[in-house]
Amino acid sequence: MKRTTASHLPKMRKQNLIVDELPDEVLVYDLDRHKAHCLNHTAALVWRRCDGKTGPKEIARRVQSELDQPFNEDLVWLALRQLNKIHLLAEPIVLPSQLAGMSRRRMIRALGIAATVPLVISIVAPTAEAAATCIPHNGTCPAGGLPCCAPFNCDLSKNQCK
Amino acid sequence: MDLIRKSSGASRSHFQRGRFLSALLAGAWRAVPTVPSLTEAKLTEIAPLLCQTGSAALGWWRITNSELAASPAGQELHEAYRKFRLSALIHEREIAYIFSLLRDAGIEPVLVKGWAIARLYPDRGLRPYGDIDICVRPDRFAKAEQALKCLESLDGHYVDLHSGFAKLELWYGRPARGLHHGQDAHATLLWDKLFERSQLVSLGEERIRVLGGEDHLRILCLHLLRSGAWRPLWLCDVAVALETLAADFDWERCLGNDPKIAEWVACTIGLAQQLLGARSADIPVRLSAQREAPRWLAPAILRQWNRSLNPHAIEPALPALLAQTLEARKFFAEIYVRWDQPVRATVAMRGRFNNWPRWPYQLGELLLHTSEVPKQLASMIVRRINELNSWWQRHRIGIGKEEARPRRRRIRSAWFLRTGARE
Repeated sequence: MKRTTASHLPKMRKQNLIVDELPDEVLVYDLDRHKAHCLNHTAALVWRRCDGKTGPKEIARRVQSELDQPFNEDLVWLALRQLNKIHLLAEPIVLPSQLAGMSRRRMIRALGIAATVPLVISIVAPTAEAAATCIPHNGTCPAGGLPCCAPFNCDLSKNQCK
Repeated sequence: MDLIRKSSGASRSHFQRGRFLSALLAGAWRAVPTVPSLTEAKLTEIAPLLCQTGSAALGWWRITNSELAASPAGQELHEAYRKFRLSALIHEREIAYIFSLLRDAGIEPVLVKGWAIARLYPDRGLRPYGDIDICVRPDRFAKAEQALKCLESLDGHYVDLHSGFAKLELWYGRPARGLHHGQDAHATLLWDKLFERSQLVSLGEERIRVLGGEDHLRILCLHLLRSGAWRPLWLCDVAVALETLAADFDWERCLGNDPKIAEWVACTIGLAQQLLGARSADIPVRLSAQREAPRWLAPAILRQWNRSLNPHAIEPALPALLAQTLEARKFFAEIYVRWDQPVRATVAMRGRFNNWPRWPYQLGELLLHTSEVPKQLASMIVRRINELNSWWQRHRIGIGKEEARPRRRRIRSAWFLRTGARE
């Protein structure tokens, strides 16, 4: 069931991504889709081993030796499913039939695993408004309730601070 | 903080959350901050304020090694930290790109605020910044604008191009009267002076020009006061700058020649020490004498933090007050939020930071703003006329009553149609 062919070997996407490595997690910003994601340590380990040449079984073995904890092929598939969904793989992968239609929650329940679960969470993409005091001249408005910097006002016909 | 304790119980409630903020952010900018003695309930209470004021990541940094990190409020702060990290990475790429574009056009820019201060924090995710303030020599402004034309839609990030440093709150003096082209000459002189003192720092492979340490600390202090100090993050900036002073830091240059401005800078430094526990060796005698903050200042700032209200986002006075004429409590709350800006008022009126009452400055600032009332009134009338006009158009072309009704109700509740009979 988990046999993979060469065309199904997962490969990590490298283009148009901003990757920030933190001690316990990896943050990824997708410049194409303007989406931000947070990969936990395990998911990041799986992702980094997706070189297009290694199959899930071998990835599981390598991750296990790195984590020094049991880590099987099913967990790799769980990670790949999530990575695939958020477009962090260069090419879409074909999931094993019994995992394809399952939700992530059901998958985790079915696998019966608590520790070392690879998890990917999407975070609200960072915005300038989070830090800006006001929108400068010619900036797009209205933006997140932020006012235009004095003396400009939001020109609603052009959606710009004029 | 003694001064705060002496205040009455009633006024203490006005800065309770401000005090929690102050307690949490004290030393939060250090590489290994101490664990705060804050309960989860208090953290939950201030988490929204931290998020509103861009201080969430600093809050997270402070609680990382405590039990609070696992709390829901802690997780919220963690999320903000992740966002700021990514945002900083994106900004850094943009800054490097902007510098390369301008240098290709033969222009040497200077980056102020934003990354220039964020780089001093121990982690790039701690200090968010929204816009990228780039200054160029006044005579190169048009060329710089042309060079950056391709960046007009930079995915939500703003490049704020300045002609010289004139618009930044440096206040190194005003242009002498009677000079030919006084304003331009002054702007260019100021540029040349500050450019000479600027420094190049590394950002990846690019070298970014930022202001010299003295000018930078000065700008941080004055910007904080001028904006009413409503963001605790700005005081953290001052604290970070203080704790990372270069060995050859020139205090005389930082304080400048104007005794009043020197007093403002000194006062802000005193505040960073008083409210956030900023440490700095080598504070000169001249500064030590001035940096004792007046009694009203710390409580005033804690009240601002308690509200965490962006003064730019406060609605113009006239429509806001007119909308609340029927509810006395809200009406007076609207007045109070505009009145209680002693820091901003003192700076706007170029006053002294001493123990004298603030109300003359506050009154003065209020009077300054009365000039805006006719404009606000005109804009309200135009808006109402437009609403009436569009209602009439819709009514005339026969849009169903179901759709027309809400609009009519809204118009009837407008202030100038209120004749005592409420809906």
